[in-house]
Amino acid sequence: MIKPLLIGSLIMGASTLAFADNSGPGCGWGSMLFEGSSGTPSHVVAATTNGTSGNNTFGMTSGTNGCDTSKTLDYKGTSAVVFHNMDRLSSDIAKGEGEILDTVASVMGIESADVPTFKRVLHENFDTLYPTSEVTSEQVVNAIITVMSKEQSLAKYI
Amino acid sequence: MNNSMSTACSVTQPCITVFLLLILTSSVTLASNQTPLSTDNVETQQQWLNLLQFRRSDWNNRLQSEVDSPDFFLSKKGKHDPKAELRASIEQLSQTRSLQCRFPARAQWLHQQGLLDKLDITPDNCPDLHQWLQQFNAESISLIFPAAYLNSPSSMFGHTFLRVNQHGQSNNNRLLAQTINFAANVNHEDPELIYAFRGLFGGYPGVITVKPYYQKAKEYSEIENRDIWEYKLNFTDEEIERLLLHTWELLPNYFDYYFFDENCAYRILTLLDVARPSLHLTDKFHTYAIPSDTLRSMNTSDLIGEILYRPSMATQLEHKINMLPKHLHKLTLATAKSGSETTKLELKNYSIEEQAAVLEVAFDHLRYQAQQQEVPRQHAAEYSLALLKQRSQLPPDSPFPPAPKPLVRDDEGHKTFEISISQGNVNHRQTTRLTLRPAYHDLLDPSAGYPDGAQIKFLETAIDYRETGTLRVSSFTGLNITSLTPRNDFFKPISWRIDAGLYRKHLSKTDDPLTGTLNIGAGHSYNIGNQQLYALLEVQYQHQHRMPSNYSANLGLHVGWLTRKNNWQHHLALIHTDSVAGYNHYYDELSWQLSYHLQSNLSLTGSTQVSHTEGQYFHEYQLGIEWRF
Repeated sequence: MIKPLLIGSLIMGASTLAFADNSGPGCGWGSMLFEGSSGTPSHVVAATTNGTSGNNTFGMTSGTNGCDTSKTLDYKGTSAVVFHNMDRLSSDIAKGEGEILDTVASVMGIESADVPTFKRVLHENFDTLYPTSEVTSEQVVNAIITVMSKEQSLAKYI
Repeated sequence: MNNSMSTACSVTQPCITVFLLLILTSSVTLASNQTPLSTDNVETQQQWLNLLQFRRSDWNNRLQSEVDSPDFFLSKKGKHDPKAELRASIEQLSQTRSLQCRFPARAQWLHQQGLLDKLDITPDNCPDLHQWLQQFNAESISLIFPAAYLNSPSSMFGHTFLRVNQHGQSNNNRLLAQTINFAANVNHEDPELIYAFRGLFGGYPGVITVKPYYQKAKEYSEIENRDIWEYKLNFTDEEIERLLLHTWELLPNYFDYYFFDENCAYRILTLLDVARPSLHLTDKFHTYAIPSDTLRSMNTSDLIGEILYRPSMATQLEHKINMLPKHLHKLTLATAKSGSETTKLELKNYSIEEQAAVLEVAFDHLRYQAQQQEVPRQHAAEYSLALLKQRSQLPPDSPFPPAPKPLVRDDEGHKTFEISISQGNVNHRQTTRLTLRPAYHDLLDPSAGYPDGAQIKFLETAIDYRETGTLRVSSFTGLNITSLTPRNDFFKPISWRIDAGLYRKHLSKTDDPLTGTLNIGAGHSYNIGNQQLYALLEVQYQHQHRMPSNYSANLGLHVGWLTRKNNWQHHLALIHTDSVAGYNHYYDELSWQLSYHLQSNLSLTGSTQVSHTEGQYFHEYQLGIEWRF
């Protein structure tokens, strides 16, 4: 089901790196790691208004923090999940388990029999997926696909 | 038509109503202006009022819709006149078939009542609607309740939203489900005070939004560090469809947003009432809706099924720290601080599992600190990645199990409206005191289901009946928020309190007028076993025209000791303040309060207080009983 998109993304793999909008400051792993300020005043205000946009998630998705996601390829939702969970995905991969890792496996359509392999392969390739703290979500997704393509039981999902 | 009428009616009275409406409206002339619809009849059709978001005003008992955008109504008078809206809806929905796609829940209901001949909301006729519905792939609905969070008592008002669970969803991928939220569409350009003011008093339009759960869960559990409770609701397929169709009708509209009553929790209840009209959930909330109260009201309606718990990032970190062996704490803090070669080497001395534990806690802690802006982000980013790399070189699987579910949920804590009666002695006069507290939680109330060390009180009023036969207000608390969050090796929160109200102030032996008072304090708090100690630096501003120079500004220290143990709690506090400006006086107060909880909503209390100002001492003590409902 997701094959055409993923193949398309592989072809575009190299060129996506050139998307200046997504690799600019404010979009890398490091900037997304610590979203949201949680000082007491902002807590009080956020809680009293239940603001829909009382945090940086809004800034990211709307592009106001200099990080435009509208040009990101959406691999049937994979990119969006990875984009919104950059930090948790990386710590899940570092320890080889976690909810975001499960969610990414699910959105990629990986069957339960192959999920342990998926987790193991990503865990073993942490350095490839996260070469620097400036890596963008798009680069991470592309790297995941590259890593999967080299693993026999996972290649079929691409 | 007869068919649909008979299936739609089960009770005689509505049946007759419907029958009459049916005859009147199906007449070919459709002279709707003259149609003698009785307002009473329409009002008995609760579901019609639900679908229009009508509510009876607390002020003048008049019905009006809470939707504030005119496009929601097909009649110009629709916001105030459900009868006119019914007439206009019947007429326009039958004449303009495409309009049914805009108001599918309305059309469906009218059709079921036999008031609309042809219902056509199929995918062919309404592609946009069905495309929108498809994204949910709805199987069931869960009510999502992010609980109050550490060091922010105002979050006790919480927030609720709905998650539409997908077919075939498991606990491993429920993050992919869509959510339905109601929230204020705020303007970040506004200065903070205006922002808070407009949020409270309806200055921002409230809108319904649909977002994936991974985005909402992140906002609450990672950015705001709030635990989340997920309540699966036992709705039938038909009820779920109705809820979604009505949500679609509301999407392009806005409501004026009020923090206290027309807030998110209330708006979500209106959706549930549309899904299952027999719930009557919104009827139960006339003045304000506290999310945990709304949950309590649902718990009695066998609507709630499975309940799941999602610990926040801070809760998980706290849990991991509690599980981490004490001898690794120092190394973990050092590892979180710098990647020096010596800490790396020291880490190598421990077992693989201990190394993994240290690295995981160090990373989580560093992230928490960076979120709190306690460490510079650039450094944190580089160094966090180094920690993850180190962790990834160890075998997979975390040494920590997930944080356990708390024994008492937020909605299982004590109720929030409190009445208390006490008898005692105030400055050598026998006094009976009646205290009313509309909301919400006192430091001495049972703490199960509430954050420890948190207090939030609104509009608490105490009235004294004295042996002289006189009645007087002894205190009025407009707002009191206290947040005593303990510090430890890993967490360094600021404790604070704000108290605004009218309190009795001794100006002489016989004169103690009600005095406008504002106290603001900030400081530190620590836990030693079951005991909590705190010290706050406090400023106090008071205004009273009988006071020399009309006002006083004092600065001082406020220290205290709290114990929570089984059914009893106590609070010992000492305050000393001295004049900075205005009326020149000092004030010392020593107070002790004790409460014993017979049940979560019934407590016995005792208190005593000695104060000392301008060379004079004042005493009081009280014994009483508190009832919460």
